[in-house]
Amino acid sequence: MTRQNGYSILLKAENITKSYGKESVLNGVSLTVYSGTFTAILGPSGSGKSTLLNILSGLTRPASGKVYCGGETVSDYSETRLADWKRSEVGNVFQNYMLLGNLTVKENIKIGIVPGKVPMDFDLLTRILEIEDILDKFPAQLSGGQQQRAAIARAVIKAPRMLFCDEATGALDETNSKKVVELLHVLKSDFGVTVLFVTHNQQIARTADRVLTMKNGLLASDTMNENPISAADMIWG
Amino acid sequence: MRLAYQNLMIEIFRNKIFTALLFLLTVLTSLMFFFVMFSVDSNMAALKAMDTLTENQMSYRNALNSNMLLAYVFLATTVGLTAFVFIMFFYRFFRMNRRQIGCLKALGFRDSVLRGCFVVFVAVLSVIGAAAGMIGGYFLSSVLIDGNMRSYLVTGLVKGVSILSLIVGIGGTTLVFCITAFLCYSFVRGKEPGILIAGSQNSARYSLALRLANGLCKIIPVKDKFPFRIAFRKPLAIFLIITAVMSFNVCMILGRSLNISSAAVFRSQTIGHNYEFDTKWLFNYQNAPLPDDAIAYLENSDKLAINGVPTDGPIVGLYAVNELFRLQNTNGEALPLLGAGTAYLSPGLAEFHGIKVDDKIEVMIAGKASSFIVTDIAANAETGCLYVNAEALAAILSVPEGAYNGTLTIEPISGGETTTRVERIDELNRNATSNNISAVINQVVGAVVGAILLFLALYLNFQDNTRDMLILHMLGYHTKQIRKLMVNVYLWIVWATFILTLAPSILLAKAIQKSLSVSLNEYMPFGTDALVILTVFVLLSIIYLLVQSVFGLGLKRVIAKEEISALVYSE
Repeated sequence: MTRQNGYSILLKAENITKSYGKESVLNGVSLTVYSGTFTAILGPSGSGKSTLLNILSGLTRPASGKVYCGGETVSDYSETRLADWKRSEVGNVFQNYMLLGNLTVKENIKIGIVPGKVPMDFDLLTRILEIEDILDKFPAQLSGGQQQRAAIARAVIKAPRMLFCDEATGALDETNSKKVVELLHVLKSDFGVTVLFVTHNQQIARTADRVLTMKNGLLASDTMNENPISAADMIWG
Repeated sequence: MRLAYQNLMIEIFRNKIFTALLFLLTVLTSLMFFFVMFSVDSNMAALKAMDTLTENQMSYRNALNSNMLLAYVFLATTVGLTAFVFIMFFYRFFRMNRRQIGCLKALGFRDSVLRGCFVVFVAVLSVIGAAAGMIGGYFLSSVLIDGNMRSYLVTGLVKGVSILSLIVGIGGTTLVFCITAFLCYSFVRGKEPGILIAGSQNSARYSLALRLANGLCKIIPVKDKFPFRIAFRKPLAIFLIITAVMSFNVCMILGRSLNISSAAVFRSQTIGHNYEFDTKWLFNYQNAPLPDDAIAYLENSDKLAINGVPTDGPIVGLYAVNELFRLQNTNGEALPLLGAGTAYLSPGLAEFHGIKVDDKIEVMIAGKASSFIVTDIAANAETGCLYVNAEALAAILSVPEGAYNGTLTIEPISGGETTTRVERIDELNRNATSNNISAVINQVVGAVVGAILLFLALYLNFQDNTRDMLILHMLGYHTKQIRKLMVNVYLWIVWATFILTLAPSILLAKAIQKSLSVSLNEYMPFGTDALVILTVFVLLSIIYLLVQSVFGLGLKRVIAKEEISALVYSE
């Protein structure tokens, strides 16, 4: 694994562009994602941060440019190979949870397990995420915070190398938001999961190891956070 | 208000396949009604205006009556099925658009205003569909008119519908669909905007769904129960599939049975009927000696009633049975000559009057009451015929023993009105045809309506699963795995539903045919065969594969267009 600035490189993007119709969203973004870090991506609405996250996680293909991971060009993968890569290496957490409505929490989590790959300890994970009491409930029976924790469990049960979070606390109140951010840091520190977190929230960015700022489809700044605060110390609103 | 209506209309028409099929159903509903009525109304009016009718015209009038009744029965059936599809449409529409409805309510639009929008949409769709069906029916009615001209040898037939048919075919159907839309608004009526916007949480529904699904999954003999568990947790979807499969089964089985019925009636009227000439004396009785192999009989239809219910009859007393004519029971066994106080019934009479073997019947003949024990059902009896002992009938009619007013012979007998074997077969053929072109076309339309219903039930189901499929795609599941989890399972469900609903469908089709038979006063024995069951099974599988392909293409397009992101951010 290649190293840079003392970190090993997990993912690399070069000159990524993307447009929807005539509207250009990304205008040549290059960046490197370091293994075992918590990276926050900040930026105003429409700056391209969610599109960048989707391209890095394989949900969307770039119009031009390349995404590399482990010496392979992910952006050139076939549909099948890309699906395998996503299923094995990538976890996604969204603002609106995206749980399967007709499955219980337990089933929603288990559907994230990859056959042939050792999953994380189910009991440990559900205990850490404090969802062991709601495993037999359906998503519609849960609060937003509970749903988001279930979604995180589904994303990480397969022990992914990367976890992509798009406004994962956007629909949550302060208490639940703090809890989610805390949990993501635990996953990073205890399980070595690399976290990319798109947010508008400066406080969450203060907990990150690294902060990227997007503006007009370009990377406006890239800062290593020398003194990240703990999630518990975040000051809301 | 215009903008609110415009917004709702755009949302409605975004369901392209659904609205197109709804329109098609309204067209078909009207088409199958008007194509019959265009051939019936004017010609029936012309027949009614005539002082006397020839035998052919009388047969034609009877056929028109049958056609008209069938048209109304099938209209009621297809209107019911189409109304059911409207309910499916609105149920789904209000579920998918509850936020929009909530927003409009929050903006101050009253329920009555919003409901008006849906009723207007349905009214316009129905009126246009019914008008299109009426135009199609006008042209298609030529087939029926030509068929009637050939079958009944009548001329001067014209196309035309009465005001009543127009009111029923266009106004009535539109009214039913509008009432359906009006009632369907109850899915969101009175609900607070806040609840609609937020989406409701119904814990009871989930626990019940979970219990039901898990219970069902325990008993199904498959290894991988997970896809079934997901599918069974949508009870409404399963209910829709069961309803659609059963409707399709009933339409197909009924259609085939009506065909079999014509053939069966024809067969029953020829088996055991080996005479060449049937001669009747309408106004007097005979006692002249007959050739040895001839069969003499007494026949009467005067004020005939069975158990107090008038019947066209006739009542017949056979003096002998032999190779020329021998009654058979439903097992094909030859029936002996009747003794005093006993009777055989034709299957039609037994069905209309609900009479079984060994029942005692009270018969009124020419104003005199008599009672008989029914000893068997004569499968090859003349239509509507009651057979009794000839001597007993002679006594009731106060005619000398041995007197007759009908003979069945190989050689012609002079003096009476004779029907030859050829004429008799021609008449049977005509009746078989009268059972008939309109019925066949109605069956086809019925089957098409059933197929559309099934198509919609499956398509709706797949559409409901789209979000889940896209989430699985996002999680890295291959298309094949997604299909296995969320699509292929429905083929098994369709097959299982087919098997489980086959017997009830046959019973339902039988009951419908029996009520049709009673309404038309025309005996139509129910029949089915392995071919129709196999055809239904194959067609169900084809419809499933068709829906799967259409849906698969749609899903591919969504994935290719990267609408997953739209899904993620739209909620």
